[in-house]
Amino acid sequence: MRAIETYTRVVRWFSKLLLYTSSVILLIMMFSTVADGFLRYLIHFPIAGVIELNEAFIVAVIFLCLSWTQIRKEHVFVELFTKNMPPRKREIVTVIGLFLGLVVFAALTYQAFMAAYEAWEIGDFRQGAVRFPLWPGKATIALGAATLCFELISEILQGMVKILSGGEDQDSSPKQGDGLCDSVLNSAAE
Amino acid sequence: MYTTIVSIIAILVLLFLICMRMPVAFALAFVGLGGVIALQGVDCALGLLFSIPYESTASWVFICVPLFVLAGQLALYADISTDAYDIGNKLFGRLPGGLAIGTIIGCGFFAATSGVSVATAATMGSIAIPEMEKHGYDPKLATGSVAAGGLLGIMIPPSVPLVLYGFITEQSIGALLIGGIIPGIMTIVVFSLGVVVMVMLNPRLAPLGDVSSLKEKIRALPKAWRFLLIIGVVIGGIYSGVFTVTEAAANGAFCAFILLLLRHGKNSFKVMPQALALAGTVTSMVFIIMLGATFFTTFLSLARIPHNVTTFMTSLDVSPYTLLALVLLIYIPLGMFLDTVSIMLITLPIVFPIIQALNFSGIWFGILMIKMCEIGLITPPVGLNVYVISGIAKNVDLTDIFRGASRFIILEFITLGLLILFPQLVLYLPGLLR
Repeated sequence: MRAIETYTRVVRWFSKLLLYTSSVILLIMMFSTVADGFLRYLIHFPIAGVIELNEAFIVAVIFLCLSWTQIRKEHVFVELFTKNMPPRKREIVTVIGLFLGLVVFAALTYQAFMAAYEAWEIGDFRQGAVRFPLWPGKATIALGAATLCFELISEILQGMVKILSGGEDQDSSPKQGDGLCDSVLNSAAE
Repeated sequence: MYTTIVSIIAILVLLFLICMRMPVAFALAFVGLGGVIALQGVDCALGLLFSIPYESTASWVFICVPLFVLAGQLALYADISTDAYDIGNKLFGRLPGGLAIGTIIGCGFFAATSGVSVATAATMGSIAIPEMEKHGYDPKLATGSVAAGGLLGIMIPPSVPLVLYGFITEQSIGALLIGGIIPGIMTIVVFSLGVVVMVMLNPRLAPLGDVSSLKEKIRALPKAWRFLLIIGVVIGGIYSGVFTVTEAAANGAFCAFILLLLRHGKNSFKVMPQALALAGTVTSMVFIIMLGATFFTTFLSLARIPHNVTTFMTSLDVSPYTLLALVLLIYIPLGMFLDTVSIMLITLPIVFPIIQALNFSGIWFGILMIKMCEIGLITPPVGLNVYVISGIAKNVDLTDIFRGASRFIILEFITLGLLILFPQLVLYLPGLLR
């Protein structure tokens, strides 16, 4: 039990770190796009590489937030058909779903890692105004997907513990599975 | 035959997994890749995993998604939603059901800074519902009008679903966003007239509001500059061709950021992390569904399902409009339990070829589809907007909110009918684009 808790804490800490990284990236995305546009109109001289950089950045934002989004239960899921199930049964179907997700994302992590490695080894770059290497963008996919896998493992373990301990469900109130609700509500409440 | 059996099994498994609480994105990816393995073998699936995650996401266009969400969120923290509500109210508060109308119009203003529906409903709900309760409004009308007003978030530009639609169907995203303007305004007008009629039929729903003098009205107007600035930058920028959609999103977010700084000074930096985190998670949520849907779509194309369905549908001896109605009707049951982005990404690969084969405009259909998704957001059992409102108005029963919102569903169908009868309502403004 203790081991699972510690493991979960480490995974969540790292997910949050990735989230903060993506926040900084988002800010750079916004400022660089604005600055690029202004310079283009004012002195007809765009900043070289902004487009190439931001294309890698959007990939980073999507995948670095992946595991945090899972932690906050903001990946869309449908609650309707399972909300009246007995808690233990619901926990079982949830764990199965998470496990199938883990299979996909484990394969994705491995392939993304290989893709990043290949791009790095052959020095693949994006055709454009600047030679921008492709491997950093691809590496963030592997990093984000790997972290999601660790988070899924943590949730599967916690689910298993609940199932084995007789399905005592602390979280019996069904929660709407839409991602936006919670954070939007929180922010609206402030 | 083998392909047909695999396809049927895959679609059934997908529905089953989604109903069993598996995140939609994971289920789509799992079934899509499983189907590809069944048809083409493991190597093909591994090849997809190798290339698709990067190729389907690394696009300059997509940068606008987090930036549109960020703009809305920063506008919210800069209290722009309060301004929008105030102005709506001062101008229209005196009409029958004036506060509800003011709220809907306020939603419209706020929708022009935000690209998601639920955010619009949540934001305006927390301001408007307490006000309406204070003035003795019927809780059904009060909550229903916000749940419905929130729908404007995905119709009035910016709109995250329309950006995705444009990307998948290869329609001009700028044209789609501009195409949402008239239907968005029409929705406001139809909703407002609907409220007037409801209150005239049953005056107990809404006592007459406070009278604001002409002076007060005029005094409220300067408050509008802040959201007008964002609207000007985003919609004006796209419309005039000064900005691409991505640049408009970045500049919109930047304006909202400056407005936030002007409003709250140093304190702004305390709320920035939250706004950025929300923008990040929404982006991740949306694009992981998109990634899953890409795997699923690849499988569908390998099984030639879109082609076969289109051939079958167009071979039917019925008028194109009947087919269009059939297609649109599919969205009602889907909207009952899925969210807008998932619905779009799952159905478009099959539905859009039919629309093209029938020679309907892709821009027009995009707007109609958004309208159908809007309806899904306020229909039971899973109307997301209604759930959001029930989180804010804790003293109102969920069924009452659904009942309140159901009156607006009828109004939505009226708007939809007008948009189908007069495609020019959608296509006029995009036609003027440079």
